[in-house]
Amino acid sequence: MQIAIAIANPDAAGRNYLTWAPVRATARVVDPVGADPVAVTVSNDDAQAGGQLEFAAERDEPRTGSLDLTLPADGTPVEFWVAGVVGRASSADGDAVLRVANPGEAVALTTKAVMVRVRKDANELGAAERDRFTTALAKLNDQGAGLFQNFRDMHRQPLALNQAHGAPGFLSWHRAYLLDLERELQRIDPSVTLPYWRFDRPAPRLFAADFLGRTGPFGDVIFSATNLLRQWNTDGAPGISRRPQFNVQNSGAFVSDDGTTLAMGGLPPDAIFDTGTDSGGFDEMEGDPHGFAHTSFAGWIRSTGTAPRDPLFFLLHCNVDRLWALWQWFNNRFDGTLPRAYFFRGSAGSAVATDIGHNLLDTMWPWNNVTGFPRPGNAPRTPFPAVPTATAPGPAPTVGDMIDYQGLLNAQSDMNFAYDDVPYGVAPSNPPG
Amino acid sequence: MSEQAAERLEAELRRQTDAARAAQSRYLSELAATAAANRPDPGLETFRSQPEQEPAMAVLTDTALPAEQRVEVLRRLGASLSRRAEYIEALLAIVRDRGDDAAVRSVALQTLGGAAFQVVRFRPHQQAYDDVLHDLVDDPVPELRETAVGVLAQQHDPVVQATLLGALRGDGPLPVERERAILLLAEDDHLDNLPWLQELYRNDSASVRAEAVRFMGSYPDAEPTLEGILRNKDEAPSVRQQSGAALRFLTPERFEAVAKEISTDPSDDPDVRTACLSALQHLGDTDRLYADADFVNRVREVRGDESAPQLAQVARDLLAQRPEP
Repeated sequence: MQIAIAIANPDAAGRNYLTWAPVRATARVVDPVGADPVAVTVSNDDAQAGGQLEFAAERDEPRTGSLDLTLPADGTPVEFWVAGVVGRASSADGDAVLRVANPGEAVALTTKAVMVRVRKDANELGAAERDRFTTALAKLNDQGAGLFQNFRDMHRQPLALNQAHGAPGFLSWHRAYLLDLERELQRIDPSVTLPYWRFDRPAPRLFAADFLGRTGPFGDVIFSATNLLRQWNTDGAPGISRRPQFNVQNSGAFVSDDGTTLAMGGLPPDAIFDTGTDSGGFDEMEGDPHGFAHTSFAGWIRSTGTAPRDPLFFLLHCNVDRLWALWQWFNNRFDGTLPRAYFFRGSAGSAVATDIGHNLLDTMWPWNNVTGFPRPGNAPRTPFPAVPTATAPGPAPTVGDMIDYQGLLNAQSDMNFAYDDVPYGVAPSNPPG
Repeated sequence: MSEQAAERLEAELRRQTDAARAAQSRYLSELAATAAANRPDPGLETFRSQPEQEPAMAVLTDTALPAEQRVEVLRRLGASLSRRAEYIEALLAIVRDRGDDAAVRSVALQTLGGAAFQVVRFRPHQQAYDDVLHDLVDDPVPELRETAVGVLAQQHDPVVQATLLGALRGDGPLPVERERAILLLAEDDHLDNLPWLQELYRNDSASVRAEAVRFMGSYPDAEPTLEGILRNKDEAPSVRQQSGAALRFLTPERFEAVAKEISTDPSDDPDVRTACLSALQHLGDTDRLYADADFVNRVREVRGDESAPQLAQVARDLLAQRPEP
């Protein structure tokens, strides 16, 4: 008897990439041997090794490590939901294997290999994951001739920088920016995700010759023989200018720790995302830790106009985004229509509004292809790239579109990315609603 | 994630945020007490009734207090201080004051740099910040000079470029060491930096030479020099590898030809060979690479080289990815 498994949103090659968000799947009998329904159990093929999956009959039901299904003999598909298990992400493509067997049987009727693909702590990354990332990034850069140039150009001129900094859209814009880059990396190697740099902790394995480079005696950034980032090139200049001003072997950058950052905003009565006052909303994190992480170095990463020339920029911002995601989980801040999730809820020009590009309903440059003052004169990347593994965000994402990134309130908002230490859903004391 | 695990995570985050708030609260009380003790009027109660920034600024601007105490204010509260215009003015004044403590000035400059990332909010202060950076170019504190010159040079600031060029030619003191000055000028490849970089390449330090070679990659006239360095077995492997990257940027075809020779030359350095082979494998026209039967045959000989396991692995990977004929 053959069982067919289908999981929603496969890529063009039929591969599935899951996060912590539940994805719809179906199982069906392909060649019935009789008229009786077939009882099967869906589980992990190897509960010890590789990425791990969990299952539920309904999208919002609690998930378990195995799920019993009864498949009609006429081949009608039976729906179930599958997601990755937090703490058990994949380290290689296809290392999470879904298994279908008759209940209690050791022999599988069928298996399906997928990847639980989430963003991880750069300092904890395995060697193969690290090498896949540096190779994909170097290929995207292609010594200055590749698509990376678009990302460099998006973060250069004053009008472009205005779209993304010093106002509440900072977090949404950079979330979109990172996701856009990550999707380009995944076109090169679908098993790659952006790692994050925990800048409040020592990260000696990140600042090493086989990753983002170690600093030599004269401030030169040294790469190992196999590290293709040696070929990095931006603005017509080879290499990277970066000199840490803290000891990367045993210290974090000059930043507040995660606890301090997560304490910004969030809890009543100060649970305002951005009031524009001095009282300390979560958007203060744009200064510390974000800005202070940048200024913990000499070199390109220290200034807004040159920072994206250093690959570290993207790992730094990935951690900024991770902190936002963790803050959202901790405080249940996924509904952009609520002021505690986002204060400026209209669009530019509406009654309570701030600069264009920083209101909830404003589309974001450059993906919106809107040019001319106060937007920049050109749009290096438009539209936002569509991928088969997710329907969100759309081609011209708004500030608000980036908030419900795991599709918690609307399944269609799932952007198919997640962080290894930020679960799906909200903290138990903050149920949705 | 199970409900129990989620509860544990939430409890841990609650513990962290509570601890952060408690620490912040204690610190603000200490600041208020310090500020009051050092300024009897208006007194502790007045300070306690004011926003947290007031005692913070009182401590930060009190030059009679130990520098460590003032630096801590910036480390812990710098970001919130830099949200208010008058406090940014105070930070600019601290950096500008050559009589103030160097460490305090340095961290204040770092704080301003962090605030400058908030472009829209910082815009009213940008000109004053740039002016302070220019003021620092001849500051007596080397660290401040180097930071300011570095930031300005990366922005291709013509004033600091003129200062560096003049000083390199003997007209005035160099704000940073000579090697650093050349590298900062090299941030702008529109300048004629090649002679300076060639001077830098004569340095005894491999680290300095590697940086010189890196920036030579912006100048097509440097191609013969870079090829010579890449081929030079007496040069440090790290410098040769950097030269290969620079050469590849200028003329990928030339790099390919040289890299094919080096990567399959058993008498050459394993790291240089590995770097060459790795670049050939991943970057450029791989169809053309695999069509070179002579080269592929030579790579086959490399794949079993137990004396250079990393090189052998790259060779095996390269051969494994070869498309079927």
